[in-house]
Amino acid sequence: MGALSFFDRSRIVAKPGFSRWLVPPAALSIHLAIGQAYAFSVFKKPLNYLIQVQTAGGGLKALPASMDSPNPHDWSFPALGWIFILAIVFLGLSAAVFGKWLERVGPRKAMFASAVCFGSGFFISALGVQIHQLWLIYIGYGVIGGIGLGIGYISPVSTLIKWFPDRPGMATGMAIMGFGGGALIGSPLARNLMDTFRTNNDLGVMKTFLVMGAIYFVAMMFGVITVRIPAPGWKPEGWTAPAQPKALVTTHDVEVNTAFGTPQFWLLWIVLCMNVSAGIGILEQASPMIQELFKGRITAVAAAGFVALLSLFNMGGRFIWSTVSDYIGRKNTYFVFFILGGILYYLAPRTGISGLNSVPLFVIVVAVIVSMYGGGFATVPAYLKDLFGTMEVGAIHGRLLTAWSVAGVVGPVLVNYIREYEKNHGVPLADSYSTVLYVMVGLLVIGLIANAMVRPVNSKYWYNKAEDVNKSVVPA
Amino acid sequence: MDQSKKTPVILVILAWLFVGVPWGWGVTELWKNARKLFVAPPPATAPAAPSTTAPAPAPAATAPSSK
Repeated sequence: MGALSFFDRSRIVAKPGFSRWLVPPAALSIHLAIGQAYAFSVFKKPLNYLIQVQTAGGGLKALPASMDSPNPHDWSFPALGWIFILAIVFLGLSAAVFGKWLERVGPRKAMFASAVCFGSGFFISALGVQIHQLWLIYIGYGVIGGIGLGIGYISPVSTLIKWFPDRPGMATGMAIMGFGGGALIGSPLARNLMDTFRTNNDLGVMKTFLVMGAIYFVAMMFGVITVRIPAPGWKPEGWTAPAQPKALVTTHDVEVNTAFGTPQFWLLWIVLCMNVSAGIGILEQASPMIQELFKGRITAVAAAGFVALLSLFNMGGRFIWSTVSDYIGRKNTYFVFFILGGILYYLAPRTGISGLNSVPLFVIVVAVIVSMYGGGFATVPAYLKDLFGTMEVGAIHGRLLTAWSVAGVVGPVLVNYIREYEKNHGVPLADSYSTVLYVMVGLLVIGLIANAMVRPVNSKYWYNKAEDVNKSVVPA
Repeated sequence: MDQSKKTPVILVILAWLFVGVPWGWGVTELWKNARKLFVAPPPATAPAAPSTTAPAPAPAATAPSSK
């Protein structure tokens, strides 16, 4: 009982004098850990060659650059691809389902649940590798780990917004930037660990999973121990809420189930979905696109460097754009994404060899686009807070993340379908990118319209505490 | 009153270092990869032989793309 009370909401109310600047590192410890998910691809090749290396030896030398394992008992690439898909699907589902629970129990319990799920996901997967049972990795990393991702992703959002009412965009942007940064740590960490544990007949994946599970659990526990919520009525020193709030910024709260039924929620859902779909569209093909547009000038290695550079812009954009949104407003920030983004998407193919022939210009154009893609993720929690208040913003954010799950399917499917169609109709590869990017401009126009339609939430949706109390005393 | 004591600055710095150091390491690793974009391609007269024994998983794998 005593140990369990450590996780209670009442135990994490900050005492006077507590520095709110301890909360972003707590949030970052969670996001930097779960952001590892986007580096999972580093395991795909080793997982694909487990049996081959076990039986034929040769360690890493047995892994050709672009070939499936010749051993029929090894797991195929498409089968391995489901691990990541499951993790992302369960991220979206759990964020939507557990959001309300998170608001009730507080961030410490939610962060702990996330750490347990994410860490044990690795441990179960290690067992799956050891006894070569792929379904165990599906359940471990995909389902249980995915639930850890979802709870972890939303767990610090409303806490940060409450600690930084003066700069909510910057605060949530910082945490969500951490999710982008997680892969930057996860990828070299996994490679170094596999290098350490590798033998002639073992690629070291199982031990790497075990160690990573332990490292991430401990790192996330830092967040669990450090996180605090502000005492009721707390305000930053010297800060007073503006007497005349901006047009879209509410001083009221909307309950998550009520918010789900408002037009504003679904307009923001479209805004996020379109921004993410278009961004994924360009990220998916960044490497082949630069090689095709500048044929003979950009090698595959340089293209990999380009993709890495984009990751930095994706991460940096999360912090910069969300911070900018504190000054120019969320709606205007998304207007920039959709209008400037549309122009840049249109320009991108024109910077190629048959147009302006400028690699630096192409890199700048795509880097800005990708920064706005990241910025879209990071600015949305503050947009939700503006419209629906802080009371259940984490839960509302969780439900909105279903837009991400949909975009994760729509973006790549759209790109691949258009490319295939163009290829079958004899369109040169370099030209087919123009069509894809024009379709992306179309998606941004839809997002622009949805954003323009966002209005303050009608007062009939506001949470009425007195009404809630009355309801709870009525016998069932 | 004991309850109102301020959080020591050193504690805040240590907390930021806890997340900042691994993050900085990750950014450095990624930057090493990103620099390859700025390396001049090999001369066109020397066709590059495709390598069949990659020493490590492809560098692109380090670059998170669609998040």
